[in-house]
Amino acid sequence: MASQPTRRQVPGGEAAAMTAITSTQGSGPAGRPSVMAARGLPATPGPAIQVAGLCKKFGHVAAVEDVSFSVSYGRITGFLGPNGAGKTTTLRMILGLIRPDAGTAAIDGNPYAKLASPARTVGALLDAAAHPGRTGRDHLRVLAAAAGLPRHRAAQLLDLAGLAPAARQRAGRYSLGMRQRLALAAALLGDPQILVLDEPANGLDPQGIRWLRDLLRTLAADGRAVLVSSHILAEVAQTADDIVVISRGRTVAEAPLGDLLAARPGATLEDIYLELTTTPEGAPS
Amino acid sequence: MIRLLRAEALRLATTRAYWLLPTGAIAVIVGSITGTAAATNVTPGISPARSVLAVAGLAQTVALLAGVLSVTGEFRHKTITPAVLITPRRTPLLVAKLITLAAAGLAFGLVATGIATAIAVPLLAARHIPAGLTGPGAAAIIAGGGIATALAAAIGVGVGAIIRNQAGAIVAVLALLYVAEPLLGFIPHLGTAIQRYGLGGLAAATTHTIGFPATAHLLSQPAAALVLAGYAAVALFAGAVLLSRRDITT
Repeated sequence: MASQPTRRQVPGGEAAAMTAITSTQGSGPAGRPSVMAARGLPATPGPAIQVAGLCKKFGHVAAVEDVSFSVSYGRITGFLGPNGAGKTTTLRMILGLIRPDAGTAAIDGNPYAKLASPARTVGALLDAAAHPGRTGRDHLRVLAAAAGLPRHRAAQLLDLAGLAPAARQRAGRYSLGMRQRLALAAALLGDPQILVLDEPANGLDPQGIRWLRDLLRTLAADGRAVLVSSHILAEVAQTADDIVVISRGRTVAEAPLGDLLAARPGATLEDIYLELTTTPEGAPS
Repeated sequence: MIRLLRAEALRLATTRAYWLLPTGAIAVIVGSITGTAAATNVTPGISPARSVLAVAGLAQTVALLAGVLSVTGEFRHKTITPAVLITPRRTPLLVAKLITLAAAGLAFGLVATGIATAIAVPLLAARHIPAGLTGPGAAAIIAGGGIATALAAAIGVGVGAIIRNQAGAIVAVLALLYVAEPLLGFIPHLGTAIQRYGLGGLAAATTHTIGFPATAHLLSQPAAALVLAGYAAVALFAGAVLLSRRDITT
């Protein structure tokens, strides 16, 4: 649990920063446009996200009591926990949307609010939100304008997300999976170094899940940090490099997936997760 | 700030409500101004044109609602989350909305009042009713219409940031305008102050038209505009403080 994840070196380094990726890893859909520039690791070493002792109460209810973990560049960190464990509240505190009662959350060593250009640093998907009357393309154009990004980023990301045919449809007519893809496109608009994704597989069909998995792996292989919450443990076991588990507002495990599995020969991630998040009384927390 | 203004302008342009509301309002204003100017009786001592043009005050109500929608819509549709992620300092976000909505309100107010004047004055003249309106008087009404509508939109933005629930904010604004102010206006002593300093009275004074209840207690045009601007400043300041402090959990 205490072992620090080792950072995977990304081949190419500085030179790769100039090259755009032209193919996905694995067996994903071919012909993905080269929207995301491949990047080397940032000049400043250290965790992409560092969370220390976060606490948050809503009224008298403690949503998060003591959550600490870090997220490394070049790795996918799976963020697990039962419903109500405080995952979304923690992610919102990392992103400066919710003010913690105690503790800190830092992006590259700074609070989110201090980031010089947030959209180019962090991309987040929290809920698949779009104004129902606005088209997918206009939704992304509004966000691109606010972030100071060129208009053509909207079209590029609609392509990446497989939404080009629905670009001129109002988001209110999108299926849940399409809205999820639109939200992912929005998260990737600024070509960010750090991704924070809350249940990104929600509503995606099997093709979409495969696409998402390949996308996340490509992003991590570029040297980006990916923090992704999920309930689909089989998916996490296939995708994540590191695992953070929280239960009832506290971190109960933080380790590389390989270490977790090696410590319990024969056990699956699901077995380990259920043990970690089941209360002594035997009921899930 | 340029980026934020560009984003807000795009938001406004790509949301149908902001086209339907003013278009509908202008249609209603044209219809009712035509009807009123064609049928109104002359009340001694009151400029018929000023009285007829009070109908154009609908523009301010619509602008107030549009301002409310511009903020509460972000919460209702949860688009506040991506907006604040891109712009973590929330006050500039509100200022960009203020500038955009006030500019749109100014244009809408000028157009609505201008059209209303262009219909009312010739109609009254055709009925041989002296309009009681000089050229500068008409200009003051049209300019006042623009300013009052811009200020109404600004107040709406502030109210929307204070009351983030869309239905709640709309009900509160409409109840104040169409229930609380008219009823309180009938109470002796207090009524005079309500007529003078209530939103309805201030809008009527700023546009230099004569609203309901017809009253002699209205402030002068510049004074009313200043008080209205003061209300907007208070609402926006409170809204900015609350928007910055409150957690965004939706």
